[in-house]
Order: sequence, then C-alpha cells, then structure tokens
Amino acid sequence: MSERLSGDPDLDDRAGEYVLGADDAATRRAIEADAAANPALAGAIAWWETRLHPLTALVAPVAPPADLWARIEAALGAAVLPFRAAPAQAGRRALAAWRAAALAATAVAAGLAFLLIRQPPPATQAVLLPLAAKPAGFLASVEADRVTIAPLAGLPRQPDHDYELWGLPAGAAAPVPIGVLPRQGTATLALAPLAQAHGHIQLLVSLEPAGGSPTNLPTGPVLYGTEIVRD
Amino acid sequence: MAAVEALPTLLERTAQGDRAAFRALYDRTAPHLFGVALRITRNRETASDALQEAFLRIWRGAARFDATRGSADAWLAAIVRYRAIDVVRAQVPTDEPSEADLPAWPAADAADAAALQRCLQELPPDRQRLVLLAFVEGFSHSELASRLEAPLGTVKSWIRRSLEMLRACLSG
Repeated sequence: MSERLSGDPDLDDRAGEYVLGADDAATRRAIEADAAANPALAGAIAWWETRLHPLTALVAPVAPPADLWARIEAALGAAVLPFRAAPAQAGRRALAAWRAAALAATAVAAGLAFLLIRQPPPATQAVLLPLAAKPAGFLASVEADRVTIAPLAGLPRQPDHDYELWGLPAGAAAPVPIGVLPRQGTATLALAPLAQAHGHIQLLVSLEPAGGSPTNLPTGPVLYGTEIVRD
Repeated sequence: MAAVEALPTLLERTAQGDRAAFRALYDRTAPHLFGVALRITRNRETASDALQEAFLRIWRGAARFDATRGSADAWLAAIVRYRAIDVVRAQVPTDEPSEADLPAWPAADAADAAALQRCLQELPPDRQRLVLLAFVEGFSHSELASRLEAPLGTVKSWIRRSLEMLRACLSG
C-alpha cells in the first residue's frame, strides 16, 4: 500500500510506536493484526518506516555469515511453499494458447469462471479473481501440497460426465492430471504432480466422460480455470 | 557492462519468482541489513536467524511491495528490524552491554535524511537519545526505563510526545 498518515492522531501514533519498536510482543502482534485489516494503519506504518529509515545509516554494515545465502536458498527450495493468486490476464492468454491445442471439439465457454483462492496461513487472504460471463464454478483453497475444491451452487450437473482438475505449469506443453472431482461435496487432492513446478501454474477444470479422461490429456472442454503462483 | 538494477526493479523481478534478482537483492543489501539486525540482537547467531527469516518474508512478500512507496530500502530494513526486535524480545536479557557510540550523522543522501535530522534536532537532546535508542538499538520500554532511570509510564509518554513532534515536523 502507499504510505500516508491517516489523519487520526491515535492511529498515527500507534503506527509510529510500532515502527520505533519499543513496544512489547503482544502489542506488536495486535498492531500487525490490525494493520492487516486496516489499510489506513498500514499506510501510516509505511509512512513512518520511510521517515525513520535514515536512522539505519547510523549503523555500520557488517558482512553476514558466508553460509547465510545458502541457508536462505535452501529454505526457498523446500518442497512445501506457499501459493499466491496471480493476475487474471496472464491466465487467460496462456489458457487460450493451450485450448488451441486441446482435442476438444466443443467450443469452450466464452471467458472463464475463476476460482476463489484462499492463501494458506499465516497470510490467509481471500482473493476474488474477476468473474467472467459465467458464474464461478468451484471454490478452491490451495495449500502448499494440496488443493481442496468444492463445487459452488449452480454448477451444472452433467449426467455421464465428470469434472476433472488439471495443473498446467508455465511453459509446460500439456497439463498434468490432478484428479477427478466427486459428483458431490468437497475433495482434497494432492498436488504431487506439481511438486516440482514453480512460478505461474494454471489450475484447470475440464468436463470429461464419466470416470475422467481416458487419456492423460483433457478430452473435453476446459470450463473453469485460474492461475496461481508458487514461490 | 551490465547495468546495475535499481532496488525496486530487483524487488519486482523477485516478486515474479526471479531467483537471480533475489540473489542480487541479497548481495546488495545484506551487509547493511545484517548490521541493522546485529545492532539490535547483539548476537551474531540470532542476527543471522533474524536475517534469514526476514529474507524469506521478503521473498514471499515482494509482490506486496507497493512501488509508489518512497523507499524500497525502508521496506526491506523494516522487515529486518521487526524480525530482530521479535528475536531480541524473546531472548533472556543478559548483562546490559554498553551501547556503542553512534557515529556522526553521515552525509544525507536524500531529502528524507535531511528532514529527519532537522526534525530530530528540534527535540530536546534526551528525547533524541530516546528515539535513537529505541529505533537503532531496539530497546524495549522496560529497557529504556531502566537505562534512563525513569518510570515505565513516563518513558512511554515521552516516546508518544516525541513521535507527535516528529510527525508534525516531518509532515509540515
């Protein structure tokens, strides 16, 4: 968010005290929680951070331990990492490219309905991606190594068909199957097929014959999709 | 010769998952940031832990950095400071080390530094010291009260008053 005092003296003072840092842990946690929900407080904190930052010039630089970068990199490379929602536009472009290669003869619905993605804790936030002409079909909650997906009310029931979830990493030639979705209720599917994937990943839902695609590729139209980013 | 990327650019590329950019960001800022952490924790091991955790947060949070903000440095340093403060608050207090003399204010390289210096100097000297001890050294209210030999409540109200004066001066 941009940096700006709120104009509310109490709020601006709280922000200044937080940035100054002398308050106790409980107070800091409370302010952090408030700032996550209150952009005015977050903006005031940002304002103070920039204004007080020159004080760090009073501290001499010190070379960190030589192995510190390796430790950071190792932590980045851990198999279980948080996801975050990606901008919708990129997904649409790449999805169009993939659709062109799909076997489906049925015209894909114009536009895509997007999934509501919830980030895993601690930074849990619901990101509502733009809805296309169709209503959203599924609610997906992505965690580090699994996705929990539930059909939304109004999802068309398709007799003799099943919805199937696929993952398409950026640059991959074809999507990988993640799992067939149950006709009713919520499913939790392991994202093991995407364990090595990084960067932008599309989650796609296609309509398949009952039991799912008989091949390793979608045979039916891709009807729902969204894009996530794996750090 | 390759151009030296600006910090906000490196942050933007980091937000896109560019690990080389993240590495460049680390190489450029780590000594300064480690110094900041070490000044607060006064312990190399805990400062390393704080810096490591801070950089993971920077990696995860790079997309949230708003490029319209005045300073990428300030955002990075704040993440590091907050981690170091959390670490030191959780530590068992050891014998109080004497605080190192703060060097003279370095040449201002930005309007922010000049403004802060001017506004700080409008505070009475003991309040200036209070602000510096809190921000640079990371002392808690209790530690400040003990150092200044003043009641806790007094220290808190001194800090609040000092911040109000700084806020008025800096936004004027």
